[in-house]
Amino acid sequence: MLLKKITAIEFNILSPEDIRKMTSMEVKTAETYDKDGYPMEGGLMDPHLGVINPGLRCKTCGQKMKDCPGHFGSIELVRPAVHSEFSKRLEELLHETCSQCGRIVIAEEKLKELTEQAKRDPEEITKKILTKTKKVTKCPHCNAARGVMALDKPTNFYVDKERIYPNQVREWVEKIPNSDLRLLGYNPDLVRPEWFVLTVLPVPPITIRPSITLESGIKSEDDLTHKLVDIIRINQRLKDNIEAGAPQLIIEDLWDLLQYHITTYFDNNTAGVPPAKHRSGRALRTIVQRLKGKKGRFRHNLTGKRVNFAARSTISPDPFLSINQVGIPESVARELTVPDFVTEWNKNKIGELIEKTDTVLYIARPNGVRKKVTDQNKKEILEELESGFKIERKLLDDDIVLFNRQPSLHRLSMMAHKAKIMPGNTFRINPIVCKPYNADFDGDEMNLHVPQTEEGKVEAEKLMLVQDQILSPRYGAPVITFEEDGISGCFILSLKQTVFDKKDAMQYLYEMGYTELPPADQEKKYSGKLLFSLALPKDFNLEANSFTHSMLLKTGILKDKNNGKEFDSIVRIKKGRLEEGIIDAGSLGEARGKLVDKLGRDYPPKVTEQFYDKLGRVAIELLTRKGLTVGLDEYETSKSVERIREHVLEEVLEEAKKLVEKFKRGTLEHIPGRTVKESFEIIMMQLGAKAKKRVEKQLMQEKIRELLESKHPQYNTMVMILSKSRGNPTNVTNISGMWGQAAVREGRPKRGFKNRLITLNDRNDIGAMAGGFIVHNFMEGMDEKEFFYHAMGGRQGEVDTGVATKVSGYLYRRLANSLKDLVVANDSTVRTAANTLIQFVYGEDGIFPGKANRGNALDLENILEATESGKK
Amino acid sequence: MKKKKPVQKQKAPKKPKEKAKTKTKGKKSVVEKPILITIPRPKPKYTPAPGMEDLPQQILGELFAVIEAKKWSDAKAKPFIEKASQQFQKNKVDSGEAVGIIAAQSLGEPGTQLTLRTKHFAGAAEVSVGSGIQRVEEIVDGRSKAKYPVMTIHLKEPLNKSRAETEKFAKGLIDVRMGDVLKTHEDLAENIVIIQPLEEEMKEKGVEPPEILEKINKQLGVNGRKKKLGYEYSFGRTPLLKVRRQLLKLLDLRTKGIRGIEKTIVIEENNEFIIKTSGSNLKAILKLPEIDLEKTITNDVKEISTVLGIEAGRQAIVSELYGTLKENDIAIDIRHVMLLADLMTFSGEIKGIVRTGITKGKESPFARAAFEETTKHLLEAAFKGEREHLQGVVENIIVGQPIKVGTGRVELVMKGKTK
Repeated sequence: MLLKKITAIEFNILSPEDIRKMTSMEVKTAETYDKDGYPMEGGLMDPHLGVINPGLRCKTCGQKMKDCPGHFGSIELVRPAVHSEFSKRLEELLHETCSQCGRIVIAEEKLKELTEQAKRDPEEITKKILTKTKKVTKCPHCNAARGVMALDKPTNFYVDKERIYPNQVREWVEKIPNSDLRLLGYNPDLVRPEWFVLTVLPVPPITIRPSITLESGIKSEDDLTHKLVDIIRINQRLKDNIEAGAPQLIIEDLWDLLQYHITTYFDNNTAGVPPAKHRSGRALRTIVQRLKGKKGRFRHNLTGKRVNFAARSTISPDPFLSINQVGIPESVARELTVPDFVTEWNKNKIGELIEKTDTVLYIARPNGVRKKVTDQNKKEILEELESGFKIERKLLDDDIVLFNRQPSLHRLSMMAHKAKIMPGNTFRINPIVCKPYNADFDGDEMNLHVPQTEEGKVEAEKLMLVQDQILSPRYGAPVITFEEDGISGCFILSLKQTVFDKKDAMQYLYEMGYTELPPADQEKKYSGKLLFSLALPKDFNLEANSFTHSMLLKTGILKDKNNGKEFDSIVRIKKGRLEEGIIDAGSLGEARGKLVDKLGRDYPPKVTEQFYDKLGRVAIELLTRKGLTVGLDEYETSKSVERIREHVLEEVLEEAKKLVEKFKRGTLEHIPGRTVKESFEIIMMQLGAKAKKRVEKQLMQEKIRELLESKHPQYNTMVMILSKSRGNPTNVTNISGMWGQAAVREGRPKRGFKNRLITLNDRNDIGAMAGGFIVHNFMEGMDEKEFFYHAMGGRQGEVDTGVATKVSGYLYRRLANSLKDLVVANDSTVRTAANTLIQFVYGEDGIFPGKANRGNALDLENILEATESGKK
Repeated sequence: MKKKKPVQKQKAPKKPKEKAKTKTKGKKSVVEKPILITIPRPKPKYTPAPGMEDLPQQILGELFAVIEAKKWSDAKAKPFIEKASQQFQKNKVDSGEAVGIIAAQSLGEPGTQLTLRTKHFAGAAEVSVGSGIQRVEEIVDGRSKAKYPVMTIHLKEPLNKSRAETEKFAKGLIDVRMGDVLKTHEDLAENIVIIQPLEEEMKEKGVEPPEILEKINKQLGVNGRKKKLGYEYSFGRTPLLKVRRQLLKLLDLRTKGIRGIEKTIVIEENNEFIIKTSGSNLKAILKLPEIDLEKTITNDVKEISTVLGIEAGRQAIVSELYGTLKENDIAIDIRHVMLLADLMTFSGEIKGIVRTGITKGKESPFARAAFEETTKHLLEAAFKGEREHLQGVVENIIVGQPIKVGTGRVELVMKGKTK
């Protein structure tokens, strides 16, 4: 619970009085430690400024390291110095005001008018005054002549090319009356411009600039301390020289040096000033550098915080876990603890835990006294245990934990799981949840967090559990679903040809968690479809086209789009029974899977979870037994494909030749709006693509038939492609058909040597073979030219992904930053943090995308079905 | 609040009409006095049954369509409508939902899937438009000029049915400058300029030679004499610099077409011929009488908002962004895009998602400092004496307090045990 709440933080500028008031001591000596290694009295490491050694007490507040926040000191500057970050403001003020009377150099009546206008738009008036006053040569108030003001960045001011020193600047701006300052955009109650010229410098507490003792015993100081030492030293020298009556020139030099040190103390990257260096030559990291950028205080420490009760390890797959579970190594469970309250209801259970196991590590009485539980004091503890006590115990099965994989690009990158303590050293997850995490098992590591409060646990369980994240808030369709092997497995399972005998069927049923054998559906045999149906809820109905169906139509094997019988390609599920159809990505895939979509939307999350758990296990078991491997024989080019390819090649080369001739003769017709050369390139490009398409079609036709019509389908490449679990037709064409035209930036590769792409070509040859056309495939291997063409296309892809991640990363950061405060308010409007109205009703209809039916507020079909079935 | 809602909802489907009216107004104002058009609020077509006042008109329409098709009586339709209403309530956003963050995630997470390619129209046509990540960035940044401005021009009825007519019209739109059809030779010693009309270019661009000559004479203020090469203009004692300036001015003079339209191409789409242009000038195009005002559009979001107003600008952001994402096969709910568009436009002008746009307008110094230009914002806050009210997300994270979003908006008190 929050005991103290910050409601607001006020920013302003410290006045010299403020600085002196908050000072615990004046720092006078440049030395930090004396010969014996003790901090110097009056030095920068004086214990009045706070403590960094455990055990010591602060000389100002008397507290120990943990409680003492540290205290500011101060340095009285012998001569004032400009605060470099404000010199621009000072410049403006000098432009706007008179050096004699301090008034804005605008006549009184006009000023009154402006004051009136400033009530409406103060910033506009401030700007207006600056432009108006810049060229005024005479003060309308006191008639004093005005010189030309100039700022030599960062801190030197000139009037009529004559230097004015910080003390003069200070005296000047001191004269500006409060009423005029208001007009210039200042709030004089909080900020006076003379404070921009420092007369006293605050020294931050030691806690902000701790020194480090190296192993060798040498103390190493913080960069800020180094800089402060410089300032004190020069300040002292300046003082000595003034007291000794040194010539003006020397004093001014020292003064400038003091100014330099103060400037770099604030910002060591000020333009026009050489950065201050450490002895080793490294530039010092001073105040501005500490705050700025990705590694700065704001982005690194304040908006990104470190936590306790977290663990990190490599992940590995375990299909026998539920999607809601995460396997946690015993060694991790032992270290991570959960607090638990002892109440009347769980007193006995906790007592048992203490007595019989070593799960409970600490107990705490209501007054906060903590005690470690050991074998020796177990009995004692059991006796005094009563409700109101708190315990700290090891992680147990079914505890709620948060699991996360970086980069955390969306909210599904961190979900709640139920712990399952297991032997081993890796975290284990069901491979189905890889998708939202974007994880694989090639060495990925993930983080685990254990919520420590009841609120935290409940929130995580109710809102973040994996089963409740199945529908994506991005597009309102399932994201957590089978992929790769899961889909391949279901595909094979649901093939007509897949039939099991009793022994096998029993094994699969066991994997699914069934101990009873359903009646056989094919004379003593059990079809894969039967097993699949068991995972479905009993009242599930669905009719949908499979992905295979669309592939059949695309390749022209199937002409009638309503003919699902021939290849069993239309899925029909009635009352939880898969009557016909092949299950593939069309039913199970991410975002487009009709089956999982319906399941996720119409049934409680628990049902979907069980469906995934059961089916996932059979699919994996099936593949484990069958083996999902590919062999070279799958990619052998058949005679018919070979014939088509040769035929196509001949045609293409012939046509390309004609084109080249036409182009060279200048008779090529150009595409409207394009030059002849461009048109030529485009046509050549299309030619190559067309050729590949034709080969691909023939190849696909053969391969698909091979798979669906054979009694014992064995070619797994096609299993993967047809089920859309991995790979696509182009991949197969590349391997056993032909590679086709290489492309760089949407066109034929063109940059290379003079008048030719690579030196293997003849000069000025613009034909197909010299422009990146690859006739071979991976099985045959490419020739020298083709090898280079292929590499050109490959490289572009590589570069593009690199650039895209960089650009999109920054884009995302900006989007997140400007959208992060938008929230649906209690009146269902969308508002910003400052309560500005953005939308009257969220998304024009108030429907949340994660609940909507692929963007539609209602699922009419579903409602219709429900009402009609309800009526019957 | 309850009463306010339906009003807002009716407004949404009305938007396209509104836009069209504004366009007509813009056109007419040239001849007539500007007329203030009040658009009558459409009467609700469907009267919602009690308990379902929340359902938007559009959804009611869909429901009634089903009922009509099924020929249900009121009694029969009741459970259907009830179920629909129930589902609608179930699918509503929860108050306190961090819709902004979800929208940002939905747009940002698939960002890496966006490609870098430039998309070409209709296979081989000449107009190309940036698609993929650059295009998304361009829209989101709210830049004042699109990199590849493209207009889609629809013509009025009879014209758009014939390819020849449409092509002729399209050709007439192209911005042709004198420099495109003329070649100049300067004789510095004699202070003579010879201007040679390029006949082939003229023919291709549809420019008439006599017209051109007249314009040249007018611009230069001297009449040319016909010579073998072309027309000779003698400037006598006019200073060289002046001649040069005039010449440059001449070459930049528009002979025909509309400023900014570089190329045009005619495409057949849905039984009509439409014009795609590279280069955009919405204001000038909309003034042409042959144009179908309702369908003609440009892809330059800023231009739409200046010509047709901020509501149209919002709509343009939504459709452009949504279209680009769809082209890249990125599934995203349109509500996320709408939220972004609303955030960019609620102030009345298009503000980009950049440090000089939305972020600049934020009240909180911490929120600004944590984003970009940390020191600048802190110093500004200091000398202006700003106050941090800790209302936003980052601000509270910085000071270590619960954020006021989602479950952080409510306090939870556990009920004590009642005996």
